[in-house]
Amino acid sequence: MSALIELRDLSKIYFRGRQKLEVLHQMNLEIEEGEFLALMGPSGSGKTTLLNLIGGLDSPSEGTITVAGQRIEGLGQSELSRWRASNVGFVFQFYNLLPMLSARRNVELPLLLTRLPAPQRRRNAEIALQLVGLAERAAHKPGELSGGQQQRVAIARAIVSDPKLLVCDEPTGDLDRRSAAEVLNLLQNLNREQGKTVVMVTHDPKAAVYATHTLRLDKGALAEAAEASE
Amino acid sequence: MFTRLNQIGALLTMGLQTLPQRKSTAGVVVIGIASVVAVLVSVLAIAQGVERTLGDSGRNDTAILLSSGADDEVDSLVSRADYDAIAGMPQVATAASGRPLADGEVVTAFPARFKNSSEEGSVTLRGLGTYGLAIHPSIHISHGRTFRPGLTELIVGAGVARRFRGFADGDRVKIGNSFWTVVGQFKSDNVHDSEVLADVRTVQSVMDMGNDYNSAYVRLKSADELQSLEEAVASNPTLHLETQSEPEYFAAQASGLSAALTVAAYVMGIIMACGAVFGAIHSLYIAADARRIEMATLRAIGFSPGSVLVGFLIEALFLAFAGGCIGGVLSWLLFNGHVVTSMYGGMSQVVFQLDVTAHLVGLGMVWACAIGLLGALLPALSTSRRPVTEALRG
Ligand SMILES: Nc1ncnc2c1ncn2[C@@H]1O[C@H](COP(=O)(O)OP(=O)(O)OP(=O)(O)O)[C@@H](O)[C@H]1O
Ligand SMILES: [Mg+2]
Repeated sequence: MSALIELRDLSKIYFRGRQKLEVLHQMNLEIEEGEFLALMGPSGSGKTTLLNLIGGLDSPSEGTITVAGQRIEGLGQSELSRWRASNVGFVFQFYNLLPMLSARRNVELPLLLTRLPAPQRRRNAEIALQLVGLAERAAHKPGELSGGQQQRVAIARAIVSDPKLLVCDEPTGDLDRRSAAEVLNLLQNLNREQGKTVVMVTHDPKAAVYATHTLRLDKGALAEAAEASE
Repeated sequence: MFTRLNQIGALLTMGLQTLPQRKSTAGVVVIGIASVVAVLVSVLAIAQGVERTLGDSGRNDTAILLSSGADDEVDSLVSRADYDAIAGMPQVATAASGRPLADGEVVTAFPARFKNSSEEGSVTLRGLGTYGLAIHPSIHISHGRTFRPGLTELIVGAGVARRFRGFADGDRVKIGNSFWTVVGQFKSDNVHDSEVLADVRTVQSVMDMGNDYNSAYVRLKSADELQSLEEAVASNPTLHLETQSEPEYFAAQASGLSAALTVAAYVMGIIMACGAVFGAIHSLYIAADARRIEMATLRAIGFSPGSVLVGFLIEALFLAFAGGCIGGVLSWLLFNGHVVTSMYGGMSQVVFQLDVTAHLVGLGMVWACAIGLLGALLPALSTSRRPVTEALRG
């Protein structure tokens, strides 16, 4: 296995007026292809910040980010948009589905950025829904689905254009135990069977158990976590 | 990779397809814009109707003479001697009888009852001379006959007959202390349509007006003679009169009124538009705010900020366009072909025909789209300018 993601001397500084807030300080990290990494750490420690940098939603103040051999830290807004469309799938805490669209059309959204013809897009969306076990719910709107089901639709959306990398920010943060377990099992399956590299932020030590590897972020630096206990 | 245009197309299709699900927010925007357009188009149609009735009529070879400084016939006095001097001038055409084609006329106003309300309005009585109908060729008898000199008979303009009670053929009309018999009706495409006409001598004697006139109308040998007549009148020290062509006079009458109405239209339109712009901005802002996370999500997935912005703007334009259409149709239904009356010369009602023209509706549409764009641009820009990470945090 080779490193899919490589962070070198990564710093992120936020400015609030005159105040300088260095959330990440000269961080180094390698994530192997096929890894399922859980990122933990106290609130405000910079987990979301780090995840956004890895997913190409934000640019670092210093340092380099290499994903699948491509340097992305210097890309402009629109280049980053294009890069995200074909390389990363996002899963958010609050699902972020479009409430007006059916599950299938939500899943189809990333495919609108490809040249696939409409019937092919539709078929791919249905396959992705099948993969998350919601084939019969394709016509339902998000409001007609439970939280766990909505998150699984969001995962289908994240994988529909077949990216190597899934980036998940507290994907079970809004779910009950059972739904959370379903979502985590799904992510684990995608990791094991489809070879997706998964980076997941979580507060829940039980969620971290599904990962192959857990890191703790604190005071701008990373540390290996003690095995699944906290 | 996919082009911007395709992205915008995909977003727009999505936006329009989900419009029925956002009925109430979209409805507020559409109705707000529709009412601005309806008001603006209707009031402008009124102003245009006024302009056409008063401004676009009269003959270039007909001159009207009023006393110096008088704005209209009511305020003017032309003495019998003045009239004789004018009629004798060489610029004046001659009738078949060999006499000059010139007439002194009097105008006076009297109260009359509206047909559809108990209120009273005011109608202008014009006394015409021997050549009255020759000098005013816009006047066509539509039924009955014309008045006979020396008798208290009158003929009624179609505008008066339509609006006021008691002007049917054979009706007796009380003016001052005298009674006049309606013997016919006429049509005219200018202000005369809102007048009743009688014999000038009879009006003068019955109404105790003496021998003087309010105005003198002359037919010129040709339109080119106007300036020479003007100079002849000005150089005669006994005449204190001003010479205008009939179109000049009508235009001068119209300008005050239609300018006032046009200004009123714009002031009202702008006030309504301001209200609607803020209403539209507000409702679009709420719409954009509710969809902030959606837009951020689309950007995270890989849609470009520009296409998310443009898609949203086109959607707003679509709503504005729909509002504009509704407003235009509404004002067309309410006002097209209808008549309104307005004061003329401070005395009498004049009837105006309203045309809600394609041009006016087009103008309304431009306003609608401008309002829609302005209303959507602010919230959409503020959303699309924020970094996607911040927008995602909500
Ligand atoms: N755009 C920003 N501007 C200024 N400060 C920011 C910005 N985004 C995040 N921060 C600050 O950076 C720090 C790290 O934020 P971040 O969201 O990455 O933390 P987190 O570990 O994800 O926290 P949580 O577990 O609560 O989600 C916080 O102190 C936060 O207030
Ligand atoms: Mg966070």
